[in-house]
Amino acid sequence: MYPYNLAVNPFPSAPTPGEFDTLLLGGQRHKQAKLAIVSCIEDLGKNMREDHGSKQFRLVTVIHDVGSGKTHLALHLRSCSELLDKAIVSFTDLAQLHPRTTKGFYRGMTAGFHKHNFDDLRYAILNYLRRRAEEDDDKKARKIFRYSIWDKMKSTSLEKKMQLILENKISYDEMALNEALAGHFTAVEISIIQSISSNRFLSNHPEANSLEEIITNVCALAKLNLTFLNLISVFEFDEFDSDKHSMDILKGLINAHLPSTLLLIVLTPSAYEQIRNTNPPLYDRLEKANYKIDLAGSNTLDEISDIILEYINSNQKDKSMTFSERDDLLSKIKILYDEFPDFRNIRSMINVMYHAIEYSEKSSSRTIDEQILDQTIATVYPGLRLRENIMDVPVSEFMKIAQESKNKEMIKNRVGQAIKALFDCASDNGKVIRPSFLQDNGSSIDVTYDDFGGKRTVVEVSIEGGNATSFEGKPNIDISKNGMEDRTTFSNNKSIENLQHNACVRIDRHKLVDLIYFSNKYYDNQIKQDDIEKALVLGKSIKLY
Amino acid sequence: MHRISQGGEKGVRKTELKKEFQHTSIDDGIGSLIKNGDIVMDKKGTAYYLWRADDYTKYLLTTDTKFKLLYSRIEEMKTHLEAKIRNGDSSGDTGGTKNSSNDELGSFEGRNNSLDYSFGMDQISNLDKDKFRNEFDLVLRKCSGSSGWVLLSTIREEMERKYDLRREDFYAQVKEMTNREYNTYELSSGGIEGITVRGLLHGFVRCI
Repeated sequence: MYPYNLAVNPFPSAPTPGEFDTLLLGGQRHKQAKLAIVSCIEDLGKNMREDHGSKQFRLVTVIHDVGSGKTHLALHLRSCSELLDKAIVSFTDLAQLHPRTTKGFYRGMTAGFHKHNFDDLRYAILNYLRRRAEEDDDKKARKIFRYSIWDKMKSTSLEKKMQLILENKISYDEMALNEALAGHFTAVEISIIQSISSNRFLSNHPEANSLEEIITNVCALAKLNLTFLNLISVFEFDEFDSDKHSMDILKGLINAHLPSTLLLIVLTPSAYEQIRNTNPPLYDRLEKANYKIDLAGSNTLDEISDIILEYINSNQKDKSMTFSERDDLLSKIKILYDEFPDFRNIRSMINVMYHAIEYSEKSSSRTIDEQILDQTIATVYPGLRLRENIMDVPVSEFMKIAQESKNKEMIKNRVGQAIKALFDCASDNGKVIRPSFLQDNGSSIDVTYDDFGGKRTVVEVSIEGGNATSFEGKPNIDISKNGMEDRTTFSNNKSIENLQHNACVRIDRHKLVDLIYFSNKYYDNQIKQDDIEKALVLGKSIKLY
Repeated sequence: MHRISQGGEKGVRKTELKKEFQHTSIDDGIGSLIKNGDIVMDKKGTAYYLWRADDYTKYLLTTDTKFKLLYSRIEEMKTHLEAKIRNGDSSGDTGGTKNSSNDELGSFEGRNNSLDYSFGMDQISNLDKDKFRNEFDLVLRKCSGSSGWVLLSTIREEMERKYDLRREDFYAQVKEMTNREYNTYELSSGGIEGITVRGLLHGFVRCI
């Protein structure tokens, strides 16, 4: 059983998204981008309806870094429900096209459609011919279906004949189809209709050996999509770059104003810059794109969290995540995001989640806990370490301490105990001479620490006596800084003379984890020589001595 | 002044003082003492109190944590600077000769200069952080096209025209800034120079 009541692992595990992985689209920014494209297609469709026969064309660019979800978005559009009755989408991954010949380019564009798109088109064409044969008693059209007197005598309907053709059980009359369509369609359109009707478009479609032929064929295909399916044609080019041939073809396609067509160009800022340097006319056209899809912030924590929740929620059948499970998972994602720059990227985070879900299933855990994330990172990213920490803190311990730091009182006491432990350790190892330290600084240390809630706290810690104590103090001042509240609490049980002598220690959140991790090991008698050396460095870094 | 200093760190209430010296006009005297910085007047609750300047510092140290923290930082800096001067002294003693008064003067001036320089550098680097960011944002805004992405090298070149900025310093600042404010800036791979993230050279930046 997978955690969070999941029947399957919802996360994909692939360096690039696949067809199945892209059925879902999460994240506010990605959803907004999708809405913008859908709206552009709707606008195009509306204009086509209002101005029948006009050559409406749209150009859309998606420019963002690798791993930001551009390909996912483009693939998602191919199967999203919002476009089912609006557009027919072809996706061409130019990275898979080598060499980028004219023929290959066109083949890529036609192969980029789903096979069922051509099945739908085939059905629509044959159905149109059937209606012509039935309603208008068009002899030429009847001839296409090889409808004979015998069929009539056997009460075989035209619809039945059409069905047999669709099932590839009988063939239709190609000559008759040519004759029936002549005058209604161009030669190229008829040629495409022949290929589609005979179900051999993808294997044996009309070749395009020049840019002119590509334009003619694509125009014809777009017209057929509109005429028979009432759908806009969308051609997506992923991984577009500054390859000369690709740039020339794209420039030609843009100039041709392909009717009822939308070109969606997916590229990185780097490729865009190269186009700017090598092909200013194309750059100028791309700059004037009707829509520039902005995926800004697609790798922010909010967006990544949203996408991860979308994967989980969409795959939970009976019971959804509880609020506490959700908050717990989000807090872990936040720590991974904050502490590992490598995971500030949706693709990497999804990979972590995929493996964490698998490990949870193996260990029969109901949630992704700290140990599982530890195991995941150690196995999948063996070279990764918490960079800001001096002690060798495992990710699981980091997460636990970060979680515990939300309990203000508990963490205050633990800081007190940890400072005492560190001081004792430094004293035992000759880093501090206890009597002279006490003489110079008094028996208390003022400790200022940052917790994981963005708060800053000051406590006065006694380093003398059997137990470390942090004095309880009344809330003193609130400092507002960068929109975050820094609440300072401070004990004031001592005379001013003593306070003035206190040593001051400043601890950021990484050092806080180091300190508490060390303290846990120290009081559990699990300290090794290596830990002591690191602890002494830690003491120095926080200016304890 | 004597009466105010008797109040110690608790201070003396101004109205009490007026009662004690009811036959004398004390306002002008208090005014000039405040002006000279000998005494301080501040509100405690709803009443005005007067302190000797040193006593007022002590009073603040017991009541104002913010002040106490600032005070301890300044003290820390003072100790640090004194240590620097001492180190300068000892190095001067070991390395130099004190045969003439001119040499002594030179050595003293040298120490002074080096102290000024190191203190000045700290100030500049603190100032630079904010200034760098402002200037960076300004160039980013100026250079960004419709996609928003700008080559880091373009920003560097623009900033180099105005400031004496080394390439490595520029990228060190950019790395630190974009890592700290990852919700403000977005980097993209590519370009001919930039910073390395996830093993990839990132040479483009934009504001989110």
